[in-house]
Amino acid sequence: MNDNTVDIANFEECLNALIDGELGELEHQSLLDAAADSPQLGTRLAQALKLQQALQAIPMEKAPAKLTRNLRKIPTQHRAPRSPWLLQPRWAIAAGLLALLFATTLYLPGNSQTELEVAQGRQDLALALAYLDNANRSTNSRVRSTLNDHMLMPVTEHTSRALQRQL
Amino acid sequence: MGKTYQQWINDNQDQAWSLARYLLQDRAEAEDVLQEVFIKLWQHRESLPLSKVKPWILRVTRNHCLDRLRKRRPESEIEEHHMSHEEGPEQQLQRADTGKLLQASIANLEEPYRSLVILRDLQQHSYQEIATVTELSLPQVKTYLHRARKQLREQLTKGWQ
Repeated sequence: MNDNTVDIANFEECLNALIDGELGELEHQSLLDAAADSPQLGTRLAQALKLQQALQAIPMEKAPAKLTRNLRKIPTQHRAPRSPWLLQPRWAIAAGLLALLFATTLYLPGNSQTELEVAQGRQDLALALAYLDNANRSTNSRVRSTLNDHMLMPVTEHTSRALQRQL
Repeated sequence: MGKTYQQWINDNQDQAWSLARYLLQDRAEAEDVLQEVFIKLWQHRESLPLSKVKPWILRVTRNHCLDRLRKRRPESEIEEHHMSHEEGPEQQLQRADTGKLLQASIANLEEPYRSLVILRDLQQHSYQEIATVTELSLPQVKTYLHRARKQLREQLTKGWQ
C-alpha cells in the first residue's frame, strides 16, 4: 500500500490488507476516515471485521487419537514383506545342521551299529539334506532378488551333492 | 528416520486433518486421505527435503481431497462441527450459529477459494506457503483470496440479516 488515501476503488484492497495485518498506521487511519465519511464503506468495514472475528473464533479440529495411532503404525506396516520366522533361511539352516550332526554321529567309526540304526541314520541324513536344500533354495532366491541372478549356484548345493555321494 | 517421521506426524497431522475435514466434510473420508498421505510420506521420506515436508503434506492432502470430490456427487449437508466455549448459553448459541453459518459458507465456496480461506484465514499460513501448497502464483493467491473473502462477507451478511 503506497498511497495512504483510501477511496472506494482501493477500499477492498485496504480491507484485505487490514485483515492480513499488513496495513500501516497511516493507512489504517485513512481507512477509518473513509469509513466514517461513507456509510456504505463503514458497513463494509464492519462486515469485514465481523468476518475476521468469526474466522478467528473457529477452533481448529484436532486429528482423532485413533487416526494418530494408525499414522504412527505406518512405518511398521509398510516395511518390505518378510517370510514367517519359521520359514526364514536361518531357522531352516539351523534345523538342517542339527539333523546332519545327529546323522553324522551315527556313522562315526567305532560305533557298533545295527542295520536298523544305519537305516535310521540314512533317513535322518536325507531329512537333514532336505532341510539344507530348502534353506539353500530360500537363500538362493533371496540372493537372486538382491544381486539380480548373478549367483545361481551357492556353495551349499555343491556341498550337499558331495555329501550325497558319500552315502 | 522413524523418529523424524513421528515428528512429522506431530507437526502436521492437525492441519492436514482440518484441511481434509473442511474440504471433504466427511470424517471417514478425511481419515482415509490422511492415511494415504502419510503412507506416501513414509515412502518418499528419503527424497523429501526437510523444509518442504509441511507444504508437501498439505499439497498432497488437498490434491487427494480434490480427487475424491471430483468423483463424488455434490452434497449439501455439512457435518456438525464441535466447538468448545467458555461463554454464557446465549453467547454460545449466537457464536455457534455464526460458526456454523461461516463453516457452511466456507464449504459452499468454489475451489480454489475454499482452500485459500482454510489455509490463510483458519490455519494462518503465509501467502508464499499457500502458493506452494495450491500450486498458484503469489498474485493469484492474493486475488483469489480477496474474492473469496468478499464472497464470504456477502454470504454471511445475508445470513446475519
